[in-house]
Amino acid sequence: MLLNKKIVSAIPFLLTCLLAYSANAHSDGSIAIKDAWVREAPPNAKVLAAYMRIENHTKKEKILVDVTSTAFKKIEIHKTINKGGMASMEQQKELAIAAQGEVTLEPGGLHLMLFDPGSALKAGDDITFTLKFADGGTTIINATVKKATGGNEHHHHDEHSGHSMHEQEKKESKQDEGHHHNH
Amino acid sequence: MKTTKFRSLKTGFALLFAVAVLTSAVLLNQSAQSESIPEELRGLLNKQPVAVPEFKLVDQQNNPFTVERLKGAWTFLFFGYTHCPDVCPTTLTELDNAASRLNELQTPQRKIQYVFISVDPQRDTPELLRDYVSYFGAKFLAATGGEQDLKQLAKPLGIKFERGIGTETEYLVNHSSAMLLIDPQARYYAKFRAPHYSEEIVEGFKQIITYAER
Repeated sequence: MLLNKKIVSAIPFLLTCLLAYSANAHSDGSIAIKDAWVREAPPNAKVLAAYMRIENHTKKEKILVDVTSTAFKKIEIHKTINKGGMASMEQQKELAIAAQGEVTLEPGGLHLMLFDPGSALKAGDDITFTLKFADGGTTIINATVKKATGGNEHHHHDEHSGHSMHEQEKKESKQDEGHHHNH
Repeated sequence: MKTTKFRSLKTGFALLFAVAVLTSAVLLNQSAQSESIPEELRGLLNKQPVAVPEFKLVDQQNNPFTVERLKGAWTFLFFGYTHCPDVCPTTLTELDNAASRLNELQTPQRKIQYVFISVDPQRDTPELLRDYVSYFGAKFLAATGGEQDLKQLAKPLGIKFERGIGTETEYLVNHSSAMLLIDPQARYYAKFRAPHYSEEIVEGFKQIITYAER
């Protein structure tokens, strides 16, 4: 009886802990990760890339500061830059996702650079990633390894806005290049 | 009688004049076509094809890869490195998709080949390149060589590459993202700018060969 009472009195405390934990772990849906995938690479590839869409359903900006996975030695956030006809990658120390906004990691743009996979990954494998945010929150996700098929991956999230935005970016980068060559 | 003769003379002159105008119009039109590049190809074609100079690289089977290997086929040439997680695999996937569609355009007179040149010879050995390109499906060739040998090929084609940030063994390489098309006489003929999409490569190539084989 006494034991029962103790348990009952502990319930609010336990509930608080549980709520606090879930809020911290973003399992309340404040951060949603969609379409996460890892690009299958040749068996001897030392670096791979992962792509996904990160949605922030809160009224506060969320800042992704770190990504880890036991499947890789190191993970960095990178952005492919195509300027003046040169392709290069720029490491991003962090990635801000605006309040009620989203950021898409996709081929030819933002991506997670995955260093040294422990073993060769094949299409169909599931990889667990832990995303850490500046506010201390973490989100754990599963991403499937897929063989890239090209074309629609560039704008797989939203047929219309995705495509037109991409075309716009492309025009700009081509103009960039033209500009560069004039000098 | 006089009037009839005058009339027929007049008709004759008119006819002659019409023929002259028509002939010159046709001639002018023909010369204009041969001299100017059609509008849809202006962003792709070089004003004048540029002969690819002599160079000496090694292919993925450890065989010499020289300018001779570019003769007798249309060659898609892309420069990159295997430690490139995003741009290179994305481009090679698009090129492979294009290759499977371009297959039907191949004839004994019109061969097409695909070559990946690694600008990271420190890490990309021929063996590594062999496994890497064979993953991408199409019958890709791969080649690399010493930095000076690479520059011998790259520089005249306007292709640049440089070591990016990183450590001695773990580093990025910045490289030109354009895909070049070399004609069967080993002349740099056209340039596709990034980002690359298989549909654009296929449509562009169709227009280019229509123009080149006119």
